[in-house]
Amino acid sequence: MYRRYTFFGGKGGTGKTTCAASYALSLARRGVRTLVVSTDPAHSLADAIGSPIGSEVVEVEKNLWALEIDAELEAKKYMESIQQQMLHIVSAAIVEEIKRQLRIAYLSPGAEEAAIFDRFIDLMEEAGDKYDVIVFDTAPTGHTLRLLTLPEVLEVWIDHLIKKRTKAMDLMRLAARYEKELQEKLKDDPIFNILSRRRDRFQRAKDLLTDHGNSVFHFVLNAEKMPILETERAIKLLKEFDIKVGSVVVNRIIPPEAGAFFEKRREAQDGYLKTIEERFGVYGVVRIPMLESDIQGVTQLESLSESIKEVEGL
Amino acid sequence: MVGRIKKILYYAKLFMFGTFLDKRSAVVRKEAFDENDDLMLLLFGDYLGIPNPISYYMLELLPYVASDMDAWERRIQNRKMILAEKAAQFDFD
Repeated sequence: MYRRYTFFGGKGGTGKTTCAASYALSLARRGVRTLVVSTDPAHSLADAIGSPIGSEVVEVEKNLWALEIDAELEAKKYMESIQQQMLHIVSAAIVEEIKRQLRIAYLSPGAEEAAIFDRFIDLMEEAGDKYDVIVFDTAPTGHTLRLLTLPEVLEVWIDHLIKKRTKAMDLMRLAARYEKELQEKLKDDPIFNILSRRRDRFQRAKDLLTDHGNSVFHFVLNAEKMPILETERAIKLLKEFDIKVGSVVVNRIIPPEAGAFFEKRREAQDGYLKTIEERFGVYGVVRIPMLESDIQGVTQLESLSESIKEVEGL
Repeated sequence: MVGRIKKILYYAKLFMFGTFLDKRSAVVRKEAFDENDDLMLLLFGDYLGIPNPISYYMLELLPYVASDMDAWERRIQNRKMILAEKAAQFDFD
């Protein structure tokens, strides 16, 4: 059974993009309308699929669409929409001042992350009738976890802001009780409206991400020490935020026919595979062998799709 | 006749408002402004060097508060006489 929102994550360089792309391909070949999205600022989806992909959805083949979210572009769009909006509200004298502040914020840390997150939620919400499944190829672990846990953290913060604004407005209304004009002005508070719209959005994002029937997070790792440790930490965090963990995909397993040169590595790998089985066995471990060459293009992705299909097992 | 009564009533109302209500509502209004200043600090503290986790999302509020921004920055940076300010608020004369 496939889920509506499937995430592939894990340490950098373990083959997340390849797994995500080949999984998306295998779904598409079965007639499921699939969109594969890369949220990694350093995109490699286009390389894996072997055709150019941009910040707009492109059709790769029948039932398969692809998209690379461009953080810089998203942030720019957001700033422009604010500037547009502002022209109707404030006088020209202040516009310059605001533009200065927009530029500062544009460069501030977290802006790109937030921009990606925005697009990401848009996609999840809009996708309904266009696509059956969205496969997310996420950025290396730390980045992604911050992205997924963003709504939970920000909701608390924004709740506090809303409470504060409500109190201020109540006081203001109380003070304006005998002034009709001011009262009219206070009736519709844009700041309160914007804040609550944000909060609702975060709430919806959280609902989508923690919906175990619809969202699932698969980990991709190699049979090595560091990826195992990182995956373990990441799984713990996802559990804390109540996001469903799907399978653990072990990529690039050296096959026995690799020859004498790899003998030592294979022995070490067997040990790690045992550890992986012990620690992540409950989620279901999917094994993918190391291939002779790098995977590139649709035909080569297809060769993986049989084994990657197992991630739906649970 | 009716016009005169209306006029008298109107002035009476203004008198009452000025004597009893206006002062009180001024206190409340001051409190409201203070509360709003605090909120602004939470929203745009990063302009004063206080990190803000969601400054990016607060940008869309900017057009609505921009006209007050300058005055607010001045008020916040010049909060040396908080006690005097508070005392004035309660109007002990």
